[in-house]
Amino acid sequence: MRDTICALATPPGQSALAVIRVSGPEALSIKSQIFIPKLGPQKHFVATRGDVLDLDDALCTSFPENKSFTGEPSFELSLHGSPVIIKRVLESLQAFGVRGAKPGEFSLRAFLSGKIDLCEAEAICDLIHARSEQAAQAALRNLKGGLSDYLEPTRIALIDALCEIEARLDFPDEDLGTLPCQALADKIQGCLDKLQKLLRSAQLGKRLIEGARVVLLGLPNAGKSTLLNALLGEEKALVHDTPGTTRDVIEANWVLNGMPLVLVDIAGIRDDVSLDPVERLGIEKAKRELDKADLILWLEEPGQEKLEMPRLVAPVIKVATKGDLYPDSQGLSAKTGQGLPKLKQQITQILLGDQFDFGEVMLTKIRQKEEVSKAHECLLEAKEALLRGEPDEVLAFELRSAGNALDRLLGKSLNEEVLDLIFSRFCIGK
Amino acid sequence: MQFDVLVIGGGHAGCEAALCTARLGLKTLLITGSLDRIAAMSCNPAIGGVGKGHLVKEIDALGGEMPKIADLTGIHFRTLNASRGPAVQATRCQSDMERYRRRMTEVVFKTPNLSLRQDDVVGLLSEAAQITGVVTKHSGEIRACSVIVTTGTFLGGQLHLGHEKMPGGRAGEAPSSGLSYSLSQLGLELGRLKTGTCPRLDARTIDYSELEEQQPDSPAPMFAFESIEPVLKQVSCHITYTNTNTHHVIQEAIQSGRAPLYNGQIAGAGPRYCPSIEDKVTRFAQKESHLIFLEPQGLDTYEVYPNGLSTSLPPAVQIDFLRSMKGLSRVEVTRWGYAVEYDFVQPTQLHPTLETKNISGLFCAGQINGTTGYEEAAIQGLMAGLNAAAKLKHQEPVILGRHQAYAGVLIDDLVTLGTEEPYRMFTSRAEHRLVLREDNVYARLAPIGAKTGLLPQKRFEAMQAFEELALKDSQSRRFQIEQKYAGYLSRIQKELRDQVELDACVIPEHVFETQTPGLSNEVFEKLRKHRPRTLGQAARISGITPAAQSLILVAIKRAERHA
Repeated sequence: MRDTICALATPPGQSALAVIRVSGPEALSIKSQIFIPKLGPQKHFVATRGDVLDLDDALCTSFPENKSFTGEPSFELSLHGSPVIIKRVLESLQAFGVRGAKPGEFSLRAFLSGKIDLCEAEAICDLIHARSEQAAQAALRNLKGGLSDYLEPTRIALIDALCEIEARLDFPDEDLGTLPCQALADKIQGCLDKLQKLLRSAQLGKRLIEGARVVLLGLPNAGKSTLLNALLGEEKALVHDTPGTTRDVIEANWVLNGMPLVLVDIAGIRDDVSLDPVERLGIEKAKRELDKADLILWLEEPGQEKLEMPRLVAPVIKVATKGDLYPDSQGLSAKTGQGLPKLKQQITQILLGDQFDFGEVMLTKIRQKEEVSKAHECLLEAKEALLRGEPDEVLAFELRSAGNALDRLLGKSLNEEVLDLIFSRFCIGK
Repeated sequence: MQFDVLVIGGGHAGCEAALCTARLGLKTLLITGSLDRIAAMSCNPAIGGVGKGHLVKEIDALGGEMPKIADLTGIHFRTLNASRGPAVQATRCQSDMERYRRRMTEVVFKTPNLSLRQDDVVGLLSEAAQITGVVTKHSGEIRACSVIVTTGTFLGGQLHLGHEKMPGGRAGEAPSSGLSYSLSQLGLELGRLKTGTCPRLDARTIDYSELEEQQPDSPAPMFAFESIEPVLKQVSCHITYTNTNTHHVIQEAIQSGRAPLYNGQIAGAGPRYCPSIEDKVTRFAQKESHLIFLEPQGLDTYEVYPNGLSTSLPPAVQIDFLRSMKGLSRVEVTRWGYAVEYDFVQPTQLHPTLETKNISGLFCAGQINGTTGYEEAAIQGLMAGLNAAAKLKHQEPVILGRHQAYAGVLIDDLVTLGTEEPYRMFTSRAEHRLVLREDNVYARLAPIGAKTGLLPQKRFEAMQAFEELALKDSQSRRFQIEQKYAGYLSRIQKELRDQVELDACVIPEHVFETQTPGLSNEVFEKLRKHRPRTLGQAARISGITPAAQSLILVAIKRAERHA
């Protein structure tokens, strides 16, 4: 009956471990699709080691119906506590139709199934406190000041549009004139634009919370690992003159100008039939990393053969390496530090943009993004309905659904406000 | 004398309540100030409309009386919103007021188990928070297990006509005075509301040749399941408009202090959607003209109801502004418009069964709960009757969900949020409007009507058979409407699932007595004020945040543990 939901059950941010909880009728069938046990078949209640897609090596514990916290079929993944892994696992789950849980929704389901007892209830009470504490710190600026201030004009425009329609639906015998379709369409478009802008900020918001992925790409021995170490200021990756030293993907957390990044060092990409199978696998993995990158640093050693340009989605910064060996190249030198500040500046500029203002409103939580996307979808439908000349109650349905999504985000209520506006705007009454 | 159920008031709520309990086999007494005024239409001579027509159909599916009488006495039937989608289309009829009253009186008199008494109730009797009966002016004490109060505008009623003020529940009828005191004594908080009515005109002095005619629909849309076509002759309504001269007369009267609404004489809050003409002219000064419907009050009368001209201005002003309008230059007034102020029981003090939270067995229904409209009153009377009967028979209460019926929306809004002005049904109050339609009313409610026993088995079977046929026939209107909305209906169903579970989650009393750890003072005050019955209700009160809901949930669980 209900849908399947997921959420991070441990505090967000970096930690040793992170637990993602999934609950709902589809939980177990989804589990078998994303988790492959390594050491024999999985039994309920037993933490089992295995692979979560190709994202992490993790422990998974599954719970059958009536024997889980929520009372529903569910499972928990104990992942490595990297914000990146967490984000990607959550995204994968959503691709399977799992919805991000609303605050307290697991507890609600547990209660509705009669699964919580007093001790657990007290614990949840604490948990809720902890959450609101975090909300106070992390989301309060957004929710109280920023986000609601930003969304209020959109809400008002929505209520305004609804008022025009509802007044005519509920008072057909009043002389209210015909529906101002063009003005309505403009109003809806205005709302769409604002929501679209907010949705775009979600990318940035997530980057700020979870870290942007910066992938180092180049031919073998182009100096990728050297650059990684130089940027980090520590010997993270093994460096050697032998081409193809780096075979696995190496990830390192790095903070640049207050922005969390994940630097990703991958195997050098070359197309050579004589490669050994391990390096070949490394290259395959490297190519997958390119698809997930937010930014690619393209490293080339001057005078060496050029890497054939693969198809890339993410923005690219070209870096000439080994500047100490080729003084004329004006290239970067990890050894001397020449060119490093410039590269850092370029990275910041591309990831944050020119006019980026940390004070600007942005969506940082999946739940927020979901509600705003829902509102956006409904408004698109509303616009379509208006253009197609659908009946007014259908148009109202879409506008209301959009309004409800925003209200869920901001904790307000639509109905009274619409009626208030109708009576203040139109002279109605017989 | 001992009755099972005692109904105070013979208006639209009282009639439905008394008929309901009597038909369910309970010994019922209906007490009213005047047996000649049973089911009187005090205001406009019409039943139905957008949202209201939906309510009347719901009364039909539950086995009530209003739709049948409306069909028998209707003289002008129309479908409103005919150009819009089926969810917002609604039936409305002009009624022959006098015939409506007589028909309903006849049904009430002929119903077995139902006794009538003309008297005034001056007090309520109770023992240990259980109602035991009433005290009357002339008949002494009358004992009953349940009492349903449906006093309309009569509770502490005060009429205003220009400078004149007089006690009254309706023009020419005395108010009920002792009852307000008695309700307060039982711990119920009373508020004050106001409503107005229009002057009535003499049709012989209206020049119809100058006016726009509005004909009834043909074929006539009707309310009751069995109705095929109107019984009475069908007549037209007419339309006229106010103009700048009309407005000038009214503004001058207000400025010279002759309007009770503006000189401080009337304090109660009036309905925003049914403003007096004084209000319209003041608040929408830029609007040069207002639409006025001239509605015949019946076939055997010359009286006409000018819908849109509710007023409490002095008679001299009323006749002046009337005669400034097209078609009305020679008009004569038969009765003056007036305003009435009355006491109401803030409905947050009621359970969703319409039983008071304080006193077991005491129910309130209709205008006393802060609503306006015959239809809103009738459905509440019916629901109070069903629940009074269920209680006496130790059966499950009958509570309709917001997704099931406009009746559910109405009662949930009242008992959850209360009201500050006379509450009228609008379709925009129903978040699941596309589900709550006139065309699917029998599918929604007939099974419930049959289960309560009020909807006779035969009628229920006929409704079911009709439903089955219609849903199989791709040519039927019912089928096509379901198809048309299919995409939206499935989206709504998805939303509903969560809601139904929340609505099933009952909040224990102690949550309102002691502050649950973690709840802010503001949220706690809101909870104490509204006393929501379920978590779903709590969620509909603005300011009760999701976090607060989770905390309440924990409190509920704790209470269950201790129980």
